[in-house]
Amino acid sequence: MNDRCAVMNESQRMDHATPEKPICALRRWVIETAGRTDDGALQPDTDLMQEDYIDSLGLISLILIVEKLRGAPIDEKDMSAKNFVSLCQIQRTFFAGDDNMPKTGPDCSAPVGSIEHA
Amino acid sequence: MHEATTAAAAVCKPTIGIRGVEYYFDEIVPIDTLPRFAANPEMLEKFKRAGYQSVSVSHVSITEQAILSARKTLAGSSLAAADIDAVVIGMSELRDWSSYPEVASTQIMLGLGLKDIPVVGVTLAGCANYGSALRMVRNMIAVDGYRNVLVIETNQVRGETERIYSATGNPGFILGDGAVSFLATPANGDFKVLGMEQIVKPLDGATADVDAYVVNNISGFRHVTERALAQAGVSCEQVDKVFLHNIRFAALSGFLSALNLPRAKLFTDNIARTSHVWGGDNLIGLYDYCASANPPAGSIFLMLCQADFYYSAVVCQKL
Repeated sequence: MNDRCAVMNESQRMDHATPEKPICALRRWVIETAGRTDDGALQPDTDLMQEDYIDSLGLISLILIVEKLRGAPIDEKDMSAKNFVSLCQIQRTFFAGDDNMPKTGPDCSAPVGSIEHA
Repeated sequence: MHEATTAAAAVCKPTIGIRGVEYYFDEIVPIDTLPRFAANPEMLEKFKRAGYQSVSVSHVSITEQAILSARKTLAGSSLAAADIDAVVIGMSELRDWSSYPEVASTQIMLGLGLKDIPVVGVTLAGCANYGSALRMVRNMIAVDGYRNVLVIETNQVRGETERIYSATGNPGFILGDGAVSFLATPANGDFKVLGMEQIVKPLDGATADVDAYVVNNISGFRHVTERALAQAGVSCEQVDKVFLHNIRFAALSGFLSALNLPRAKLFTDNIARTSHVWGGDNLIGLYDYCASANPPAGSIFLMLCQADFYYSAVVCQKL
């Protein structure tokens, strides 16, 4: 796992008083969408499709959620399935560098289900 | 964006008119009667839950159904055969055709009493042939100065061609048979074509999985939709109705979301009625929608079609 992926682990341990990072909100959305509980099984490098967190239709919603969280459409050159394979890869491709990340994200303390679906 | 693409986008594209849209179905039968479904009730049930109810099936040839559709177009136009300047014929495949492609077009010409005019075929775009045909006919009108170009799209499942597609155990789509035709003119018709775009965005089919297809589809549809709308000078919000292929609604609605278009704008009636009639879905849907809903003049329609890695978008306006 590389350094960027470590951010994910940090985000999972974030204090709720701290604004939630987009990738943390995305992780919560993925777990909710898959109908699972956060038992720690979803790791930064978990293959979202192989491990049945996201199916092919869910992939469309995943793309829309990523766009919503980053506040901008995904560039056509980045629109490749390999860029959505894991949370780690999504962060690396779409949320790299805090400067590019929204300063505030969905409230981590909000109950699961509060994230608006695509 | 490549320089060539930028230059092409900067050119003012001529608009063309469409009139006399007609189509021909031989018979519409319940999907229960398809042999593969009769042998697999579980699969049948899945397809029914996905919204499929019936499918158009032809007992006449692929050329006969083209002739029967085009005759309606010509009859409604009050034009004589001598008034037709050229013909564009779309066919998705000729896998089971026993003669060379030119034989098919010759039969259509004979059946319509047309002769001594140019005939052009489009086939490579398959179910997105509609986009290819429109670009072809627009250029023929703009460059060659033709006044009335007859456009026909005809397709049917024949021989070993599979009618039911069910990848990964989930309902895919059902191919229906049929033909659709219209006249393209430089002047205004029933509809004015405001913008169009078609691209091929290939993946390596040997290694691409369904997820790669989904992402590619979103990217491809966005690409052509954005450019067609920009060419038309209209926004997503101004689109009144969207016509896509008659495939599983769940997949269609997902793509619509990805294009920032509300699902309520999608015309879905023919998913249950005819299933997926190859490259004919868009215009058949447009005809049916206008006949049943009678949208007001000025309504904006977006037609999207796809075939493998071909993506097309056409924007037109009711006159």
